[in-house]
Amino acid sequence: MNKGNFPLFSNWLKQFVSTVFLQSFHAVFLMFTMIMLSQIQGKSGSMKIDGVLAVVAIACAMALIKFEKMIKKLFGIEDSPVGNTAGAGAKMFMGAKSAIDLGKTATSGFKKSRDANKNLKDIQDKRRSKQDSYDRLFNPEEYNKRNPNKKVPTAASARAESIYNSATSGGTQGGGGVGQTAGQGGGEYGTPGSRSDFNRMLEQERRKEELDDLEGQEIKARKAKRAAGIDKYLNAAGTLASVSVGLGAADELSESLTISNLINKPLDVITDKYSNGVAGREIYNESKEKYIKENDALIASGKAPKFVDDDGNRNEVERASKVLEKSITSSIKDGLKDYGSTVVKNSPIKMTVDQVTKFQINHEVKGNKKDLEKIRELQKRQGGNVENI
Amino acid sequence: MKKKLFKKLIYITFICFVIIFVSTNSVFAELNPENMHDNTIMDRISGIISTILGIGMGALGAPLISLAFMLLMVIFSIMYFLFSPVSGGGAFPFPDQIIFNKLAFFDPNFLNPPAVDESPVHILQGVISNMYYSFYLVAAAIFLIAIMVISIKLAISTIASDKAQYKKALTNWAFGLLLLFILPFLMAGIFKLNETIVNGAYKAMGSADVKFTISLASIIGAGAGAVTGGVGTSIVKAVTGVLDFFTGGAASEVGPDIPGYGGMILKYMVDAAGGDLVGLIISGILLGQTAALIFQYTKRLFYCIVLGMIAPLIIAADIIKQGV
Repeated sequence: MNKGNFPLFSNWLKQFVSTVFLQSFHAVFLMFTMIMLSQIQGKSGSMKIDGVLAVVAIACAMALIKFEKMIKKLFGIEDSPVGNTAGAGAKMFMGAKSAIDLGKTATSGFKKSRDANKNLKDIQDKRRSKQDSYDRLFNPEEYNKRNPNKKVPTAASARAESIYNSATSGGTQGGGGVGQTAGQGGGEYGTPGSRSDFNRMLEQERRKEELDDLEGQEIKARKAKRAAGIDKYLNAAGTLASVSVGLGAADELSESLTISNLINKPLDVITDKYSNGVAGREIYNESKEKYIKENDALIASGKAPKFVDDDGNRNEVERASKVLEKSITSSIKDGLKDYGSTVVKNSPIKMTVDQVTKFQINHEVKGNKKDLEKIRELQKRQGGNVENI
Repeated sequence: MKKKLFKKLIYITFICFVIIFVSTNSVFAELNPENMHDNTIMDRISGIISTILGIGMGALGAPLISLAFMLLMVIFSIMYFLFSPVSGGGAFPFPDQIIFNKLAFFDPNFLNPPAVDESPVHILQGVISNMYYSFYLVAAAIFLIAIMVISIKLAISTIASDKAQYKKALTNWAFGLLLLFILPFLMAGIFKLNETIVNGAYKAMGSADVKFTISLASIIGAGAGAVTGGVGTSIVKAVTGVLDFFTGGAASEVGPDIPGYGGMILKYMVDAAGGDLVGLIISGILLGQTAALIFQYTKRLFYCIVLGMIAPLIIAADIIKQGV
């Protein structure tokens, strides 16, 4: 057969033979490698040479992968030089880009962690200063406990001062000028029952709302910090794993880096979801624990109604809480919006009226009108204030 | 400040260990038994130091290595679940199994396919034969048309050079027809030769039994790591190190021997599970190479099928190209 008469068949035959006989070349090469490795292992005696065997085996496997090109050249099946040059350039570019992407991914967790730490610190500082300013005005005892060097007048100290002033000045001022604002410690809001008192209440509500917002922001920032902390390790680990696999999957460095980057991209998405999910659940559980403690304290002090005395009622309210719980779970991705809205799962339900109201407003729980009716009913039975539900 | 000092201390300790290790061990160029030496007391001391460093590294780097190992396990599991149903017996497709035709999935011999359900050529046998038969009929039709055209042109041409050209075309046609008939035998012969060479290499390799020991210490360390985290792994490493000191390294060599590439991959994966960074990197590279070989052989399988199916059309195309 003259190649010139049957050029297509000649090419086809070369392609077919090179494709089929690739396995023969691999088998013979692997046979030589295994014989060599067994000889090395046999002569090593008691010495540990697993590392040497691994290196030789890896080198053999890399050569096996390169064999395909070699065999094609052997049979005269060559790629075009133009295509080769363009292909080599593109490969190098992709390899360099992949190396940069891999480096960025590996280190992104550290940057995120640093930013999250800074953000959390800023929010905590802001919250602390707002809390101080609120306590100075409305809760001076707490403020004085935290800041013994910067005490502000409390109700008791203001009353004592008023009595002293009355005693020393003959009581001409009747204690009205100072004592009237004793409970507030700042003298800003006038006498109880007056318009100033109403303004004081509004201001107190406003500041409390601000503090609640900041608390919610702090929870989100803590979650972001936790997620970034987990991400640090996950990104570095993912990059290490994908680079190892990439080094094995290709014979050229640029191809290896490209494959590593391809493997790393979905791993990055998975690890991000995982770290956010883990951090979100941790923060949620922490908030729940804190909520239980604080609510127990409120119930103990008589400031919150109880729902737990009647077993039959508990089932209904537990069902209501499960509906509310579902809404919380779905919002973990967005972070907890309002700390005061968390619900206790699988434990006696202890929610204040304010918390139920706030939760419903913030989370727009659907289809729970019956549950809310039951909660109102229970509140009535417990003697609570149902006006806000 | 304290962190920097601690880091410096780690570096200095590491450098001292390397210097001690290198200066107290002779390096031989040949692997002859007479040039090898048994473990000396310095080897044992350096073993203890490396164990301590390994424990220290384990405490710091164990989370990273464990996470990277988990991701490697994801890749390993994907490869296993993809290919174990087709590897006859639920085996993992290790490189030596792929190359020596132990996995029916990668056998491209569609003319004599293995009679197992896992083999694509066995599954596609009906399709391949129908396609081949269809292309064969098309080629035969082309040949028929070609001979008619050549005969007519030969009959009506009067120029001698044209007649010579058509006679040559007739000869090529006859040769092409012969090729068309012997094509299946040619392909079968190529497959058979390949299988003979592969089986011969496998038999010749039969005595070369390279075994890798998966040490029980590594298995226990991996299990401890999974349950208790880096602490468990470090404790197991510490205990193994102490035992190695007294037994001259034998403690970490007790365990099952598994031959071939499979043994090597499993050994280093178990080491990686136990927090060994080198094991992690080597097992990652080996898994990558296995994936590359699987991809290469799957490509080969379908190339062979497609090339085999279109073969009659190639010969017919050549006949047409000769200027019928």
